[in-house]
Amino acid sequence: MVEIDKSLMGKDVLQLAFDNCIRCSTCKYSYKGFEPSCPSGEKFLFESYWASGKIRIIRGVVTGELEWSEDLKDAIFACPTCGACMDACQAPHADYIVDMIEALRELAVKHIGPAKNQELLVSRCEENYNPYGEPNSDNEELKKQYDLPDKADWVYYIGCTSNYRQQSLRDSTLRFLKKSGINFTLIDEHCCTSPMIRTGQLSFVKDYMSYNIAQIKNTGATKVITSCAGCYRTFKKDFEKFGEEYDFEVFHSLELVKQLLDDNRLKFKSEYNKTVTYHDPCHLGRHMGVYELPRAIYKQIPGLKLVEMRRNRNFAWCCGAGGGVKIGYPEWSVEISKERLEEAKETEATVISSVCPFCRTNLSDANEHYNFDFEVLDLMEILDQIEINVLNR
Amino acid sequence: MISIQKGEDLITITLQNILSYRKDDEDFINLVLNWNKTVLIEIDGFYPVEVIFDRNEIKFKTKDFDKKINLKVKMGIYTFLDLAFGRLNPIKAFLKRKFKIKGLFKIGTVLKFMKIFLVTMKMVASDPNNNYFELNKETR
Amino acid sequence: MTETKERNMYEKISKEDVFKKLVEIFGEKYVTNKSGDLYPYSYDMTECKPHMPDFIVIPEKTSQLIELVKFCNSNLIPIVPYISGNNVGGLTIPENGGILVDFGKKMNKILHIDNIMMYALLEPGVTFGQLKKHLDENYPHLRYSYPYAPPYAGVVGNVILSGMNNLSCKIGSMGDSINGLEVITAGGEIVRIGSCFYGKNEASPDSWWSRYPMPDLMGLFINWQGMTGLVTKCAVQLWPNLPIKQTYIAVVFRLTDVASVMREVGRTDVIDDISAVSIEVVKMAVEIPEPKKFPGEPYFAVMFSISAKTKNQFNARMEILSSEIEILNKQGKKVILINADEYVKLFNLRLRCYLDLPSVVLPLVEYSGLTWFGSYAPSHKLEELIEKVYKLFNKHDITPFIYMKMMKSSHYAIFRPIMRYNKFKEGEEERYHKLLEEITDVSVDLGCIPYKTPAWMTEKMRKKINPGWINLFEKIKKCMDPHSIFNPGRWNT
Repeated sequence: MVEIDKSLMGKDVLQLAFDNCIRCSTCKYSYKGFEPSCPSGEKFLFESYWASGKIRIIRGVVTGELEWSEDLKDAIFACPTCGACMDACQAPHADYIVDMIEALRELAVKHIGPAKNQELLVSRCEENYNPYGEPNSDNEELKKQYDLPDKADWVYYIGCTSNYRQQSLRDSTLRFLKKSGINFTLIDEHCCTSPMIRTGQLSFVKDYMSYNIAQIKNTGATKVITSCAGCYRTFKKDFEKFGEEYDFEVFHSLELVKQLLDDNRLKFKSEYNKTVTYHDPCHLGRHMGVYELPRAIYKQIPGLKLVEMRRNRNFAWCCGAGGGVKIGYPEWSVEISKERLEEAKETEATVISSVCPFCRTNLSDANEHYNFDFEVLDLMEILDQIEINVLNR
Repeated sequence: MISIQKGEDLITITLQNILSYRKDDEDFINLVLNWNKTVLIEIDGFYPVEVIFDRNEIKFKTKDFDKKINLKVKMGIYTFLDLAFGRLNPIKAFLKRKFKIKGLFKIGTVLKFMKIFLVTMKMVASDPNNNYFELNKETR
Repeated sequence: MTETKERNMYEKISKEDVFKKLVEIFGEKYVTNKSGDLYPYSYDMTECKPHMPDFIVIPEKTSQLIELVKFCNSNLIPIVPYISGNNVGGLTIPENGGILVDFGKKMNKILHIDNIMMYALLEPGVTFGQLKKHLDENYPHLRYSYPYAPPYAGVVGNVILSGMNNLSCKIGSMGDSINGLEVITAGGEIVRIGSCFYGKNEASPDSWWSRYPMPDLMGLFINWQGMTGLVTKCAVQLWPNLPIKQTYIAVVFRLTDVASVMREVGRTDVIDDISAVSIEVVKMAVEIPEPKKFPGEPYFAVMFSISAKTKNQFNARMEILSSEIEILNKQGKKVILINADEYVKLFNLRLRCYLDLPSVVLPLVEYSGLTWFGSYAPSHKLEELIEKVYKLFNKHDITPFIYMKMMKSSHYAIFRPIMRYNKFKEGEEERYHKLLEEITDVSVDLGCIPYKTPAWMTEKMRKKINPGWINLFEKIKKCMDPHSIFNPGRWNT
């Protein structure tokens, strides 16, 4: 009988580590694609860095065969939780592998703490409600700037990365939402808690989730829209996992764009004559199964030539920012993005585009650090560069 | 919403797989819902299976069959495959005695059965996707 | 978990000094002694007793391994080779500690594909998926053959342990398809075996075309489970990739009839691969974890793979297969032959995991443990084997999972009862091990020879093997590995 700490959020998925996984190694490359797909395994090589190795570490620490020590940190935390292993695995526990890694991290935080610098995510939030440590913005200034009401049908949940690091993306989205004619507002946001969940630091996750839900409820909104894949995934999947219920619908901004296109309300008045390659963000792609929606939008932009990277859709190579890797292993994080940019270079695209501000951050950092000369742009930023009209209903 | 019993033997697994293909299809739902009939399917060389259409459920039995069966259908495995893959149509199969039906006079029942089962079987057979690993996976 | 006290390894040289030396040879990034890194290598899917290695190294070049072997030989430190650890026999568990060499991560290059002489020269870490991808993209007219093993299993491990793949009815054991090996012996010497033996230094990539006709030293390394040296290169035969490929399934309704079906069809010499699974295995693939056989259902499903260059050739082969099935039916054996692609489409696409190799065989990854009695079997004993082993499964109330193959036009067979179980459920490992032991006893008595054997199994076999063989085996082992550094403990050495 395996005894798992009942106080853990992830206790049920930790049990899966004992019921399944024979280390068949299928998680190590894309299934039937046979391409490298696991950033941590490819970098650090030892079995402990692949999904099956982490499952073995779960077994070791829970049974006590493996003692907790600093030696375990890298194997546990050096992983962007991109989900490529989930996609490749064919065993019954496949869809839960990232949950298992997050649960292992929750356990690790209890015993040995998170990886270096990841504790800053928590301390910064405790001060400023965002993991960047920037002075909290209650978004009132933005509301004034864009003439937004206090109550509305929609809330645009900006997310910390867009609000404090990728303001061009934020502003492009705001302008688009204004043009779209939807009745929306902003809230005083706390971090969606994705960075904390990914790094096993769960102390205030439920509080922040409750706070955000209350803030949204106060606006009277029944729909929430975000331009961040991470926030989107957190709202759609993790809130439920943490028992935080809400009665609004959650959309990614590209769902609104697609709807307007389908309704024939979005008209392009100018062209975007560039070759663009699309990077599938893990939190939208593998984690949420959204692959074709963004592509359908790119293909409708006049003049835009969409080309695919060799590893695309569920086989996409991670940008390397997620899972706490950007703050915990910053050099390696950018190396992972470098590999993605090398793949993008093969397509001869001049623009690499995504629909996640964190991907945009890391791809931009790699672009600069390694002297690639891509334009790294979010889809909303591309739309912002085109003259568009949105017709009323 | 149609619920289909999970098959546990070779024939019911096959029938479940075929019928599940359209379980979210509105036309199929309308055909099946409240049809409330029982059909006995026998594949030569194998064993008979009773398919019970009961309100919004499709169930299977391999023994203790109901006394009242609305329709009995018998065919060989090769006819089964020929029908599915369009090499034989049901009328020709019937005329060649490769496809036997007891209860043929209940034309309505027979025709509905064809629509539910044979049409669906053909749809499953002609679906080009062979990648089982792309189906029913959250990450895909 | 046992400690490495038995061999007194770290009395001659301290562990710290060993670590330093390994870092010197392989580089800091490719050596570890961290417990978290060692632990995943300490056990595998089987019930074989776990044991921690002391170090893991990831080599990139043969020269590194030469240094390692010399060092370990002087200091009596065991070396255990590892690719992906997918062998179902505990072969990569370092039973005496020591240094585990992970070939899978960097010594995994496809060195040469010879288009004319049809072979692939590989480093040990090359996987089936990797080879398939390379051939599909660059040499689509050539094919390799694939086992019921995950795509990320090692090609070289499979051939030097006499695996069986999906051309085995045609070519037999994969051990027969090796053209050449490069190995490092205990003294740190490089030995090239096969036609590649010409040349004082490197062999040219196009010289690995034949195992024969020189005195055959290859047998010193095949099936030795890494006990006689480290294999650093292996040339495996490729075959023409014929354009027409089709699989048929025959369902067999009486328990032991499957044996004669396999034998007789194998002898027709038109089938590439004959694999049979108990009907429960078919159902396991469609997510019924503990299936039962229902009355009226067949006992076995046999897959016949046929390939042909032209439609006429294919039709001719089909005619032979069909007429053989007809003969068997006339003899009173109830066999129904159906097109596998068509049937699987209607039954459940998940069954394609048996057809589209390399694939993960879904029933094998259902739980956290897997073990088996995998053996080469005398095909005339198959009826008796099936009957007795089936009874044993039922006796232990465990779902029968029997897998068989007919090899080299029915010269011999593969008999492999398999058990999947929850490793961490109390009593399960003991329960399944008990069944496995009983199956081993029955099967060895009937002449079966297990491959990829854990030490407890070879202990049983030793009692039956003629003393002359054992003596010669031990002499060779002692000669090849005087200090017993190469995967010690295997075959109870």
